[in-house]
Amino acid sequence: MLARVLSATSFGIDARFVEVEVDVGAGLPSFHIVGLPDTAVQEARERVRSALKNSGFAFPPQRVTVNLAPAFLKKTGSDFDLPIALGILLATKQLHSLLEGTVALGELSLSGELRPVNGVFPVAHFLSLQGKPYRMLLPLVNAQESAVVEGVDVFGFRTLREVCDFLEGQRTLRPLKRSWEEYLASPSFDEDLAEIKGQRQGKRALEIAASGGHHLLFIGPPGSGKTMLARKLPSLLPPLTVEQAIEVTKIHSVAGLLSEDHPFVTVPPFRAPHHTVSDVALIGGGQWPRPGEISLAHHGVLFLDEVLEFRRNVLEALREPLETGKITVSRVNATVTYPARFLLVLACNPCPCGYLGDTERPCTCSYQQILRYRSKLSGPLLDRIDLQVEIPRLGVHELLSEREEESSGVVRERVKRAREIQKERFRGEGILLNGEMKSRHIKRFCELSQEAKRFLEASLKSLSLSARAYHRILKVARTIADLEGKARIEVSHIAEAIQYRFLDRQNRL
Amino acid sequence: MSDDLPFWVAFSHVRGIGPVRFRKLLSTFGNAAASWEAPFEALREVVGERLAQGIVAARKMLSPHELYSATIREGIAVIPWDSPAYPALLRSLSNPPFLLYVEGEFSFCAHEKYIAIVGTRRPTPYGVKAARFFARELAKAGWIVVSGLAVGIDGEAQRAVVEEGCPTIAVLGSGLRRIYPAAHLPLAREIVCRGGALVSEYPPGFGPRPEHFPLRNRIISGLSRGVLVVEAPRKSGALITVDFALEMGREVFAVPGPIFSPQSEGTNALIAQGARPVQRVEDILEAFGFSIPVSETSAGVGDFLSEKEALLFSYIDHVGVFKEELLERTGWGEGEFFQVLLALEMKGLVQEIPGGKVVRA
Repeated sequence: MLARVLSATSFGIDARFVEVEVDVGAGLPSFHIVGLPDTAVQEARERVRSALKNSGFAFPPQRVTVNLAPAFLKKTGSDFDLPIALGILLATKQLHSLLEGTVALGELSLSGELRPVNGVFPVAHFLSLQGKPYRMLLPLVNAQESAVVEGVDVFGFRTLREVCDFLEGQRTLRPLKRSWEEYLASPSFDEDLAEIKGQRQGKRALEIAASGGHHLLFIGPPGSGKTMLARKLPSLLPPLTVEQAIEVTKIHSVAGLLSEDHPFVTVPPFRAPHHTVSDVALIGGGQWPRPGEISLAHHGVLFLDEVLEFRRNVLEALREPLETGKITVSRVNATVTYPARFLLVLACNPCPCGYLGDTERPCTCSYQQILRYRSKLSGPLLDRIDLQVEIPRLGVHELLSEREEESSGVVRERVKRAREIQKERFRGEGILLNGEMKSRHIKRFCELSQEAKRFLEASLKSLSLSARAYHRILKVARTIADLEGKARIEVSHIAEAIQYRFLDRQNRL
Repeated sequence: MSDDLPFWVAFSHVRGIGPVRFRKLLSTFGNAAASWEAPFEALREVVGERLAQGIVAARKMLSPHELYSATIREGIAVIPWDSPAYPALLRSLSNPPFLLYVEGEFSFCAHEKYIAIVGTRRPTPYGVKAARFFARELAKAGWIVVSGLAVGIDGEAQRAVVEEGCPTIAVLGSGLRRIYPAAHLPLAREIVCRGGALVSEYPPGFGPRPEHFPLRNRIISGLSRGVLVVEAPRKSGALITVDFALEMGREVFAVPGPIFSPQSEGTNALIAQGARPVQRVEDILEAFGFSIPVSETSAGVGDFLSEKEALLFSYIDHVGVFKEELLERTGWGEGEFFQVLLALEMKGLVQEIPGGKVVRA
């Protein structure tokens, strides 16, 4: 007796259908799975057998063959436990029918409980785009995350028994439904800018970075608050749109980062990989290319603390995604493209010992050491950093200041306005933010007042800034002007932008 | 004599042959050429087994005449200690270097007012400022500043002199073709351009070695009538220069510094031990019995500043103030604040320093 159950598996952040065919026939009792299964899929045999038994079903003492089609696509993970079990039940008539357009996914425990699997959200999204009504049978947690996808009926279950009861009509269930808007409208952040006392320059840099999409470098001694500042950046970014949230949730689903408490991503993500991270973990990879940290930070913030401690090849690998906003990972089994458009925040010490310029602790580095240290920073990566900001370690009295600090929400409103101005300006240019401007855009859109032009020329000369710094200054000044709602760049905008070229200005230590 | 000079040059290439042993050789064999060609046994009598072997090995490898002409071709002058071109002050020492390599159109006998300015390689902004100030003023008063071209006080002092367009003497702890630190190569070129000189007792190709530097310091104080220590922590190479200076009977001056600054511990201790504290350039001139030059009074800084610039400038001191603090104190927005700050910086009145601070320049 042959049975067919439809399933699907995620592929990159897309998905593919997988048909599970089960044949139960005469022969010595055996259980085979074919169709390029990996070890996790092979082990489904043991889980399915026990799960069936412990759910009160009989496992057929016959020859059982399972085929996962298409056979050329390699199957991984435990996604197919549930469809295989359902297929066996159908083939042995313990289950009578399955409606057309039913897609099942889920791992089984030996006791017959359903366990969540990774990468369900992309599958749900994939099904919603098929132009045909599908319904999904899923573990409860996965059902939660997929419930926001429109055009798919999602049913969540705790056990195999519940699934069968539902299919046999002994139990009625309504599909789970949730709306994105309710989550996205009121983003809840764990972090708020108001928690930081003082640090006006650091906060201001965050605001500019968020407004113009400028990558950022913080330089400061240990304990000056670089990490704390960076953590606040996502809360300044405008809330994710539905499309962005779907995209980010897909990536996080594939990486298995969604949980019952966080069924989907509603706020711009913040990723801070440790400096020992490998290039594969950062960029994405593996036999089955999985998304790396840069993709997990898509539409959010990637923070590299102690950036000079990262291996060179790891940092070099950031160049392509910074340029194109995506990364293509090619491996033996597949070539997958993941989106990776993130705001990069780097942090490092001002010198090897970390205390150069500190008020309380003397720096113990030699001049040569500092030069060598700084030279590691230069190069193509630094070329993409528009804002270089020094974060000094402030005294206690600064930290105890009584001033009321601005909350993230207030700053976010300003950021939103500035972004709208940019969107309007770059209409038809293929870019959205000042940080993405190429030199032709700069020429066209960075109009300076006469006075500002003179000021910029004079300061370039007297501070001996490079031509490269010139373009960065214009881009950042453009954003500062946008924050003020000014059409033309003025002297004060230029003056502030020059302030954010820390490394260019350190010709004398 | 000049026939003998190539052999002097050759001996300077032999590690371990310093002024004392070289003089011993001269007095034994009559001249350098004879010493160079002396049999091993005779050399062993004078300088001992190891150095004798060194000389024998060196003479297999080196050809004195080629060495000498190559050095001259490089534009490097060789001044033996008995030459009239040899610095007079240095010659009066008990054991001056027997040979100096000199680059630059500088005549030591044309000047007699030499002063050394030395200090730490890791100065505070205060030290940099003091070094530059005294170097410039002394140069303007006709003094030749002698220093070691090192990073920090040395380099800053010499740079200030060069910027003033005056000659200065840099004494190196390495050969003249191995400028150390390499970052000061442009400064070294500039010194030569401005009529100053680079001086070393090591052959041009010799690299820097730790043991060279105390000996270099001996030449710095030997060349000078006095030594001005600008900033020095307790253990500083500058204090070695002072020790030599005291041995040679040179004047020692020290710039007093804050009592909490580790970079001024050495200088303050010097003052406590009797060095002359220096607050004005006149303090140095008077010590040598020179009259005080009439300096033209410079126009007040305030005349060129806008109201806001003047206000911000008044908040900035010589030690350094956090920009963060200034932002708070002025109550201005970022744009306005940085505009005023940058204007002050471009006028050369203030300077940014590491640690997020600004200080008066």
